[in-house]
Amino acid sequence: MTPSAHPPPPAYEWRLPPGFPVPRVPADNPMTPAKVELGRRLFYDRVLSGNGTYACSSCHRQELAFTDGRARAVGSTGEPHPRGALSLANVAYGATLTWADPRLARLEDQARVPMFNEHPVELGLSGREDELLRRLRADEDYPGMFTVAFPEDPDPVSLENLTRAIASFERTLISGDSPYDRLLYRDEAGALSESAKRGMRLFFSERLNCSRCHGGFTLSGPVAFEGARPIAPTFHNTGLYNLGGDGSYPADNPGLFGITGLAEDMGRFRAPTLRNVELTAPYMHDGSMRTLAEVIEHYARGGRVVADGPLAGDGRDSPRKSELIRGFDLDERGKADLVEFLKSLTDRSFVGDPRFGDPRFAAPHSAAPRSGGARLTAPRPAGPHPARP
Amino acid sequence: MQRLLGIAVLVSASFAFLPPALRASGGSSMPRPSGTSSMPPAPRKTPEQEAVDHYNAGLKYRDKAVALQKEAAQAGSEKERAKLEKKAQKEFEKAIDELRTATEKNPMFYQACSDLGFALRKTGDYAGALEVYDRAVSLNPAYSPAIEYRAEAYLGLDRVEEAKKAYMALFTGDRGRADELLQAMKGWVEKRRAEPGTLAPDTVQEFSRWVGQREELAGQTPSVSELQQRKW
Repeated sequence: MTPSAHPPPPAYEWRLPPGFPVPRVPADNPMTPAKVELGRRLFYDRVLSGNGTYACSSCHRQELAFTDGRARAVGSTGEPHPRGALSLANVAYGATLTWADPRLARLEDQARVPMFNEHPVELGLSGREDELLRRLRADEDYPGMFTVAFPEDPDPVSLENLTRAIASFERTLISGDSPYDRLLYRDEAGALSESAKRGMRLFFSERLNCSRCHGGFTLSGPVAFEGARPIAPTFHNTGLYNLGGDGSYPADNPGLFGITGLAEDMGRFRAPTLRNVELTAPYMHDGSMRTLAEVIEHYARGGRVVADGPLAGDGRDSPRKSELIRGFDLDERGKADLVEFLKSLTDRSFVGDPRFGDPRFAAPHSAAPRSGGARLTAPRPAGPHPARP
Repeated sequence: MQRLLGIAVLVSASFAFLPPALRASGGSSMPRPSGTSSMPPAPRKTPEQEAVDHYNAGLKYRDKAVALQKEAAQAGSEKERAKLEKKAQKEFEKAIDELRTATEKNPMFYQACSDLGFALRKTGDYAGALEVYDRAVSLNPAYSPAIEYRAEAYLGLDRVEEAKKAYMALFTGDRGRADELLQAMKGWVEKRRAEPGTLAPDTVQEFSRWVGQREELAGQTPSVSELQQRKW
């Protein structure tokens, strides 16, 4: 065997909160500090959109726990996405990664979707792959950063390495320093208000059953991590719609049914993480609920009633609704307590952590902030959300 | 409640499959380190191999002692109970001799340190137990049996704050051991309520409240290891 010309890069040092296991990392993409730093740079760089207006961070904003505050995401050309941007908090642990596609389980694969998706256009890079690579190679920093991140690769500036780097950065987005964590894992009895503690009892009660779907340390669906046995992904129909009385959902958002074609999968979506949920409004896969109080009301009723219009239907009677959505009686104080508990899942240090922020502003040692604009071949619209062409 | 019962069933079921040695303190019989030839003449044993022999012998005595103690607890008369308890203590002393020799032959043998601590604790030597538990944890800070049984030794010495810290370490690292320690803590509360000794009643009350809170939190939140097997 020929000895490698390159010494192995230093291993990435996880700084995991108490109670958090080591994330699972693909063997072909081990974590290294150089890769993470490159991924972070790419994540925030609008060079990664066809028209130079969008970055990953456009739909995954740190201050919103890496969501975008919109009901449904909007792509770089202004085209609306049928679903809302999922939070990236603890995405390293997700057994699946999107609202309703069980096939996407690797961040490296998922990263390609917004880049090259055409229906809808997100970052709008389909057909512009060579142009993207030219931009990166012409940049003053990227070639060196790719070389350091992928020292064994003779041609490191590639799409494959790009998605590897972004995935590496995304795996570092670990959130585990909320008041809830401080109570649970650090024994800080005063971390939660009395109201939040009452809400916590409700949340984990058999009666409300919230934790049945939003469970575990991520307060989401099934997780994957180092040493864990694989768990089948789960998706749920929560009785949000019942078009025509047969349990149908709007055609642009049929959930798992859109992948499997099985009637029983109609309207089934993944349970997203509730960590930082205070910051990730509006709620549900299509952002159709504005507040946490609305969401609790929905589950208390055991489904949503849409009185009229094209989406009219009584979700409570949906034949496709999960048996877990049974409704429950909860007085106003209980609802307020539950909201207080959900707010205790907010990790302020996560949304303010400079390690996860835009390197143009967070890295004090860097040279002049990079605008990225000079490298782009397309003019950048003035506003952050361009009108649809 | 169902989840609590589920956890209890899981814990007891998993313990039922363990050999007696493991159920007693976490240690299990060790295979001898390799290095011996299958051809005669048999080479002289290394100190590490000798340590394993003493360790395994110690576990046998310890298991016998634990069985005798269980028998004593169910004895029909006080005389019978005392007799069985005395026998158990003798077996623990034999275990201590063997396990101590194992730790001397191999000073890095953290499992032997931990099991020696268990045997010492069972004979009432809490200070001696703490010393060897400390050694076990310093040799392997992640060895949860030693962390748990050291905490039980803390309880024996009424050092409840240190026991609480140990619980929190186990809560994040080994929930089964954390549950076990919580049960021991509940036992300590009951005992100290009956026989407070020099402890202030407030201390027992405060600790009891803490145990209750942690029990509720543990019941609400599944552990990482549980999630691996959970049916969603």
